[in-house]
Amino acid sequence: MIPLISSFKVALKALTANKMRSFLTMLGIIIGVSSVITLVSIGEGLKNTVVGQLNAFGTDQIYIIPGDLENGPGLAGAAFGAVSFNFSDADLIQAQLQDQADVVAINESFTSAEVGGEELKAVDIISTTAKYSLIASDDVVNGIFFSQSHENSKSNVIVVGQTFREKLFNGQDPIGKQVKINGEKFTVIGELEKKGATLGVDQDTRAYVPAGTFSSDQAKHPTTIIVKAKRNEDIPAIADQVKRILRQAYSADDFSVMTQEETQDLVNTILGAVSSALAGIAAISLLVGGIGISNIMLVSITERTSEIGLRKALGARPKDILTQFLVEAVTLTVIGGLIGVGLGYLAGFAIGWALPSLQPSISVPTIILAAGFSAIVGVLFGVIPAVRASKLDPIEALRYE
Amino acid sequence: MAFIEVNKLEKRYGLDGVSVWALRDINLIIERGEFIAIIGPSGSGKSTLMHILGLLDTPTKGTVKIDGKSVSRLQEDERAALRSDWVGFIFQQFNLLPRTSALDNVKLPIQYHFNKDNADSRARKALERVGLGDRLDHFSNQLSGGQQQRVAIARALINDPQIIFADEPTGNLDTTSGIEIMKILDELAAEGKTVIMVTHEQEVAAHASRVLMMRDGIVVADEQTPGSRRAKSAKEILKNK
Repeated sequence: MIPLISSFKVALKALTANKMRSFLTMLGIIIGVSSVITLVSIGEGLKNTVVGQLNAFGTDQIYIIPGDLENGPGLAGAAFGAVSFNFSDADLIQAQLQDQADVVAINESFTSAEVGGEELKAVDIISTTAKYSLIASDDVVNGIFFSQSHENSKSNVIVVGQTFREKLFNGQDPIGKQVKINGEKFTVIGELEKKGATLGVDQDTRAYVPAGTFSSDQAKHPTTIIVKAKRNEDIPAIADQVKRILRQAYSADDFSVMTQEETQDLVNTILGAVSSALAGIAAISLLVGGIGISNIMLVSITERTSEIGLRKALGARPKDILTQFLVEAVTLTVIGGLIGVGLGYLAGFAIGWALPSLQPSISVPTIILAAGFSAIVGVLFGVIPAVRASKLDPIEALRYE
Repeated sequence: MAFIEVNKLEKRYGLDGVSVWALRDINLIIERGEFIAIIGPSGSGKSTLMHILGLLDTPTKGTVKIDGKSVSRLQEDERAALRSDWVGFIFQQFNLLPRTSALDNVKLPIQYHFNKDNADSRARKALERVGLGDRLDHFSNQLSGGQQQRVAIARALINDPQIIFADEPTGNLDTTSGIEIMKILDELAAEGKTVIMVTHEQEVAAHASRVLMMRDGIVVADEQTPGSRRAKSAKEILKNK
């Protein structure tokens, strides 16, 4: 251990003797490690954000959508699924589940909203029943959510997100005002809390209207039935029960019942793959940095040939020389790695500051992985130059100028 | 028993399929405390002989015995260990590490020696021994040639070696500095160290107690110089200064 510490000191001395070159050599590693850290932390942040939003809906929810996601033709097929749910399906399931859960059907569509010629595109219109307020995760902060009587009378009332106020109502209180959606006029009766943007997507363009207020065929069929369990431990049993009920109603398994846990698994798998791909790309730059180390070590050894000869004359064994240059390469990469971790951390911090919805998360394993990887790069790329140095003939080396 | 015994030593270099004799049939006995100068024109094999005696090189044929033990067929690591403990080298080019203080330069051999105790105080003492007690923290580029060579001598002495090898120790120095260096080597020899020096300068060789003259890989003359003459010559050089 003591020889290792002293060779570390020797390495530091050699590296500080030529600061500019050491720094430029480290730069490859610094960029490599910091990009690994930054990209992995963005990937993790993305995952946390998406999972966090899923959790905001509540982990106690089961989503039922048309089309068989697992065995069917995938999401595209699911969107045009053979099964068309009806709002009455929610009542059917509710009747069976009784007080174990609240069941609500929604029809979600993206369309535009208009107020006095001012148009807001791609608003997220959700047609649902008054019961939705039981499972809602977005609170009404101004006015009210529509009631059973609104639903029964198919009143053209609407509960809107904050973007409506900003973009369509000039920042003024929209309650009591009219907004035109799909050619029909709705009176605003409630306003949702501000949610901000997630990954650049505005979450405040959402609006709720009572089911059946739109006359189109498409609006008559729910795109999702949401089952919110009263107790989390009942979720698997409820999911099974829902499958049985729907199988009886539709005679085929042409629908998917997803628990939040499954959704999270799916999201984790997808985003995990994204993170690994990002890390892989960054690792390439680390590799390039490693080649830079190898190159500079070879140059350094040529330059210090007579030093190597001297050291051998003074009693250094080949393995002492090997250790010296290997420690030097590893010191370069580890210091570069640590600076890279610091820069990656700062970059993650800066990204988190610029995009508040995406909070990059830097985990200790990521740091250890990056630092460890850079040390390995140091050994791998330092070993060839170090072996070459250790094999130099001391007489030839002493003669070298 | 002789301190160093060289028997039928041969060294051959293969150059493009043609082998070149660097040394042939060298037989020598060197006693402890001898101050030997090896002289001869370049290519005569004097450096090769010194490198083999200094365990930096291995002979093609023949043996070298130190204290009766053969050292000519040792493994590289064993030769390194012997160099570390037994041998001190002084080079024509001084070979100090750049951007490194005199003290750290002198401490360098300790790194490869089994005894790592009191490195600082030993190095300081060695530098005081060569008259550089006030230059401990000077970098090599802040020292004159003579001072650098004195640092190199201190470095050669740090592990208290049995033999000092000096390869043209004054070759890169002005006359005054050369005299200073030879004075130190004289003192070391007087203290009983074995000193083996390669040189082509007659006045420098005159400091030695024994002069080996080499030509074409052979020792052509092996003369003892009277001790009085050595001392006188040192005085003469100092007087002429």
